[in-house]
Amino acid sequence: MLDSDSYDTVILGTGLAQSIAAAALAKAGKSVLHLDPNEYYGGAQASLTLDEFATWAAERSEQPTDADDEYTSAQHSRYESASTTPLGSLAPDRRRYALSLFPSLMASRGTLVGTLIASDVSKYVGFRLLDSVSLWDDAKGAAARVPGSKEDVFKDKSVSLPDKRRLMKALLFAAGEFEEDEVLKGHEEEPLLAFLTRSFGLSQRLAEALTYAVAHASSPDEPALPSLIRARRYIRSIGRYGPRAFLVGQYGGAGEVAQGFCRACAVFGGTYILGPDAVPSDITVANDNASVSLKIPGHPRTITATHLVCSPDFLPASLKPESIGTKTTAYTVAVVATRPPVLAPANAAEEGEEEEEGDDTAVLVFPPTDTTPLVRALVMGEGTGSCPQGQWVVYLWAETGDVKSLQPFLGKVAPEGVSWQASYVEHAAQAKPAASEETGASPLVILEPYAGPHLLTEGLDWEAAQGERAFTAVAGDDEHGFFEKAEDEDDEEDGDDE
Amino acid sequence: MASEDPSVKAVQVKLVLLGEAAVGKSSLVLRFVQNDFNENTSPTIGAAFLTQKCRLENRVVKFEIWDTAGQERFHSLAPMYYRNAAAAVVVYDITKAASLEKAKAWVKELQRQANPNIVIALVGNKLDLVEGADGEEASTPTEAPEAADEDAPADEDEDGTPPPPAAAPASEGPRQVSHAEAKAYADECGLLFFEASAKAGTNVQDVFTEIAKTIPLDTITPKPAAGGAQNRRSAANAAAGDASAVNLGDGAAAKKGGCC
Repeated sequence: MLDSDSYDTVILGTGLAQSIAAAALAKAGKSVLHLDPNEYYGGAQASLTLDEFATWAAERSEQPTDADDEYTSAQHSRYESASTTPLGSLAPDRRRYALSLFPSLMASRGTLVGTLIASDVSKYVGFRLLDSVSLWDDAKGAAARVPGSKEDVFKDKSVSLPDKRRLMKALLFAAGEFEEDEVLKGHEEEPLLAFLTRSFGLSQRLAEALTYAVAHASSPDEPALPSLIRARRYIRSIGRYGPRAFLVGQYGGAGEVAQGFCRACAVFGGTYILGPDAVPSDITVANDNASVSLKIPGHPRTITATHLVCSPDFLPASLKPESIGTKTTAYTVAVVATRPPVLAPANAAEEGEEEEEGDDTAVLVFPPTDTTPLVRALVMGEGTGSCPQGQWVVYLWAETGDVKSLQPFLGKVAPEGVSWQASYVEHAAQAKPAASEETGASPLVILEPYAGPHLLTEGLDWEAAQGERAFTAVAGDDEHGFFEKAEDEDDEEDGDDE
Repeated sequence: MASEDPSVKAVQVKLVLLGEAAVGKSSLVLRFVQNDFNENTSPTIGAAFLTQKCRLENRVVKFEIWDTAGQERFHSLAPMYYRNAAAAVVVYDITKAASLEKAKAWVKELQRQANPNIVIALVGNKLDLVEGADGEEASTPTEAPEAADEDAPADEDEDGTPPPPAAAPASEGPRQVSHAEAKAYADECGLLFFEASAKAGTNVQDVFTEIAKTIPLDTITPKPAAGGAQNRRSAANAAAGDASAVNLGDGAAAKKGGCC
């Protein structure tokens, strides 16, 4: 039973955006009750152990019933064809895996990195540089590393000198202030791939590399301007923490980060209930629009809050925002016991040199063909805390409803076969953006789940931006800003790090 | 800070606290870290974690002490809490029998969630409430140091003058958990065992000193956590910190601009 029936803010779901909002609001002095009907933290961004993943998939493939609560029935319509293979010989170590429902990277100059530093949650979570980005070369039947920075281009032995010059010019352009550049004027809507080929004389192969592995576009038709803006952010991320643009989160990334923000919220007095006791029901907005009430099995009385922050998944039909479509993505997650070839050392050891041990993480992009969509693969080794030593976790996903179509790609990433595999299809509802969210206008703050085509590189920053938006919608012009340091705030951690 | 032997590098160890609400988890840490006791500590608010060094003859252990921040109340402690913890202090209240049962449940949870090599200390707190009542038996620490001055567990904030034992109070809070019962359970599960008083300071240093002595230092993962304790990369990079790991708040790195 809770100590109180009323809170400044009740937050439903411990997804990353909700957790960021929770921590920021608690830090600003609001009373926060944070609920999640799942037994685990992270919601749609969770990191799961193997047995948790099996349960997750089994629950989502059960037959829906009329007795289902809003969240359960939303999960049934969101996920389809969820299945896992038996744990087999991995069973004893099942808890040593951290598999993400949100395979994603953090750009070193993105929104989330700023939020992590401002909130001090960076102290709880570990990141490491992504080791490489490669593009699949169908002609060679192998992955080829994409030179993403000036240094990479210099070192790359597979690119001819004239091509290097062109590639360098294109990278410099993408890193610069191109909005007013004559080269781009009038061509903002031109597909990026065509624009790069035409304006910089790049070969198809190099233009594809820039499109899919530097700008991380999902199709050849993405318009030039927004793609270049994205590419610029990624290119400028290089050098902040090392020679590459992206960071990989430890222990599954997004889910671990969400836990960190939840801990920060708890440290500032937030209350947490997870599991069946936290399943909300009877969510009602008061007639005067000044509060929201709801019930949970874990508390005998109705709970009221000045604000309710949640994703549409928790709301009854009458309160749900209008859906303007869905984006369907098929995912597969595999555990493999043989080093995927994409992690092989960049340069074969010369005579007398010590053999390099190979990479720990990689992104591999399969460009779209006439018959297949663009497929992304993210590979994580033991160094990311995702799995035990001598094993690797492979994520594969594509915009398709046919999860079996990923299997041939898995065969290319992990030709020696897999030890365990989970597959599912996600239908992410694209909610109509809230019209005008004036502070205090509604006690309901609805977060928008990420439903765009760039989950890998944009998903985490999207969540961070949603978290900050929710904070602002609740706190408004409060004297406390988003993770603003109070003036008299002492650093709680000791200062004696020598 | 105070005089430090530069030749001895502190080994950082994550230590987690567990136990039922109001058994005195935070008070124990406050006594250890600041040698202080506050009669009315409110439920833990505001601190991410506290750190305190423990000097032994041959090593300095720097404890990074994580409090539950109230997340234990509805059993919502995140896996992150247990991640890479090398030690745990599970606290119960010797005047409340039910709190030992809770402590046993936490020990089980640790065995399920935490690193298998974790060193667990079971601590019966509030010894001051019964000391007058059952005298000698309770005030004798189980893990009595062989020689009192063998390795003074000094941290820099303490000058080696432990606070005087509190005057024996009236036996208002009678003991509900016998020393023998808790000790038998601890032995059976392979836990360190102490009865202590955060209020009087009795045995508090000993808890942490004994943990520091017991932790097998070669199994500790460097921070930020990489992979697992057996991780080849982290083992290779342990001395200099993991080369691939990134410190987000690192200002020097952050100053450098984009490279293109």
